[in-house]
Amino acid sequence: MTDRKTMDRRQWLRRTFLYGTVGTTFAALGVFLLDVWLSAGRFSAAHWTDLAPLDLLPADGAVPFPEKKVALIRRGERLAALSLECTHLGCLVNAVDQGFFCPCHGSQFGPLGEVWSGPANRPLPWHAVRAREGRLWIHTADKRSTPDWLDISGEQEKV
Amino acid sequence: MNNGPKKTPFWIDRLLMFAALLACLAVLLVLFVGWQRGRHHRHGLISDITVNLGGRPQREHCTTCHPGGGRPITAGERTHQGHPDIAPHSPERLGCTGCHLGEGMALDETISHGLPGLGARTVLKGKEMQASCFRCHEPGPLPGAERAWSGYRLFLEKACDTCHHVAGLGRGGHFGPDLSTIGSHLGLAQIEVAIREPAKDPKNSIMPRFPLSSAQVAQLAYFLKSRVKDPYYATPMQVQAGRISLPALPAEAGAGILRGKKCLACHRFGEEDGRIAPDLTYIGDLRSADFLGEFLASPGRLIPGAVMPTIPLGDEERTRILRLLTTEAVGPVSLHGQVVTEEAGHDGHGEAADSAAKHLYMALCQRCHAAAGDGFGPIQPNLATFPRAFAGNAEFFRRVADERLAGILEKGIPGTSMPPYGRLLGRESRERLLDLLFGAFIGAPRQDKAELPPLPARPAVRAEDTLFDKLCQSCHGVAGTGTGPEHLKYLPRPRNLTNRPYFAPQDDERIARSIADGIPGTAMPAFRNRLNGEELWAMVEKVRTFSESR
Repeated sequence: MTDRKTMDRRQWLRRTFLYGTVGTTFAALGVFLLDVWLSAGRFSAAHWTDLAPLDLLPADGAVPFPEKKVALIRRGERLAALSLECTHLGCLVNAVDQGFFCPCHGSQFGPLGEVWSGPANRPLPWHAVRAREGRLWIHTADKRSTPDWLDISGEQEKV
Repeated sequence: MNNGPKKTPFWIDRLLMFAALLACLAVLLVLFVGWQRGRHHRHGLISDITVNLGGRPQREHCTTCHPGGGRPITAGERTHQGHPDIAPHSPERLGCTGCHLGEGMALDETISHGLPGLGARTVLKGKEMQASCFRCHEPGPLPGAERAWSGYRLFLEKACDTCHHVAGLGRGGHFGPDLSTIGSHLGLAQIEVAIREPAKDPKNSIMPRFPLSSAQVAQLAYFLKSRVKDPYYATPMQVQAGRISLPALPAEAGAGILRGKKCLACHRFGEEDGRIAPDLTYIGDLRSADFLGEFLASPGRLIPGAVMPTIPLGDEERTRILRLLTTEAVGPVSLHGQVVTEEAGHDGHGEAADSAAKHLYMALCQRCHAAAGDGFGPIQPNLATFPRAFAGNAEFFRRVADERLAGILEKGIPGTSMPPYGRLLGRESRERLLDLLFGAFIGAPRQDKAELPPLPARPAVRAEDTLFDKLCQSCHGVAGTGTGPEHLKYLPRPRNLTNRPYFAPQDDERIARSIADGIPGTAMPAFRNRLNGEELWAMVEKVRTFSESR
């Protein structure tokens, strides 16, 4: 009754050959796709980038890095990276005494990027941060709505 | 009556047909007239040239209508005008759009002359051509580009670079938008409007309106129009190596430190007046050296909302400026000798005393509070807070105790641009000045004070405020910075509640009084009937939280 009983040698050969070919083809395609997928990441703007050495950061407050469009916010032993790209039209936002100020259309943001006034209606996003070998890294594209606080008390002892 | 279906009259069909025919004819007529009036090349050929512009191929159709490079051929004209002589340039080798801008590949007059809107590619012609010189030539004193070069000199002279960054200067603030590539974004006309009327767009712009002649505005615009993304004189490698720089101008011989550091581009000192910012002539007699030093380090800390950017100064320069302002220019110097002698020459009575007070007003108060006393003084738009109006504001002054007014004149108002006059003016001249304000502008007797109903008693327990977002936020903003969604509707602007120096010396009663009874002469309404005692005092606490002044 079963197929195996009725299947003769030729049928078996044919089926094994067919399955093998199709499987190999798909596997090869999969490998190609995987390769493209992985290398696409290499060329995209989304990557981890080195920002500053950990031991040179000032104690408290905001340190702007205009060329990377990011500001480091430090609260005691915790660090987070605030994007300095205005959520209105993408101008570079300036760090001022009370928070951040966009020179293009006058949006004001609080010390943690919350909207205080102006045409911008979304708070400044936060970058993902991590510490590696005594340096601070941020992810250029991984932006979040809540701060990704990094506790550096342990990191600095290592350095 | 006939109840059957209405019969359509026989002429309706014909009428509709006729109307359709008329509409068709009208459309055809409009098309024909448009075609007739538009300048079209009748020969049907499109001229297509490609020039090599600094290694970048530039393809364009301009010579279709401008065969000789001059005015286009119109109907009936058989010859065309050639391009004016621009030796040592050669129009054949440079092409058109490299200098004249426009859209070289467009096939329609409107589009090829630059799309309207921001006008980045609007065609330049005639005198405007100077706006293109420094796209290819390194900025410098270049024959034929005198106006654009003066524009660059003006840019430095008017201290534009303290707020705006321009690539190649190696310095420059980020207080204002970056102008490095402004020529690729805006047209000449738009740049001129932005200089002449900064508050036109955006409405909340803090850029001052500089007192410039229209020729000067044009010069600045010519220079700025040549700040483009891809200047022809710079290769990407030179830009990357930081070798492209705008030339530094030699310092003027004999110019003081105030001129050298561009203070006088905005401020006034003695006879020189930038007409943007307060008078520094007497500032050493008004403010202490500590205040001036701290203000120079960070203007917004002592006067929140001050539009003055932080000026990069070396220690030595800072000391020189402070010394000049606080010692060398203080006292009965010839500069303010006029004020001093007028004051000393009278015993404080009669017409002469009155004229001395008027003189004081014009020398010290007029710049902010205006000669008419309405607060719209020449530098009012650039101040952090609106100067109190005297004229037509009697109700406000009826509510302010006389001692407080005298105190303001003596000690100033912290956190605002109102300086203390206690050291510069004696008690008697301050009193005379107050008398003058009441007599000339306020129009109410000085002793006439309003009686306000008492404030509700302060509850023993501090209550949490819940009403700020509902009642105050539209003007004072979510964070109390005085920049709520509606703040631009009002002048005087809503108070910045985070102004710590302003609120710290005030007692709670005064804040509560302002909330309960409003402030006449401003948009601040009385909330007495909308808040109960508990809510009112919770609101005072909220203001204290914003200003961190408890």
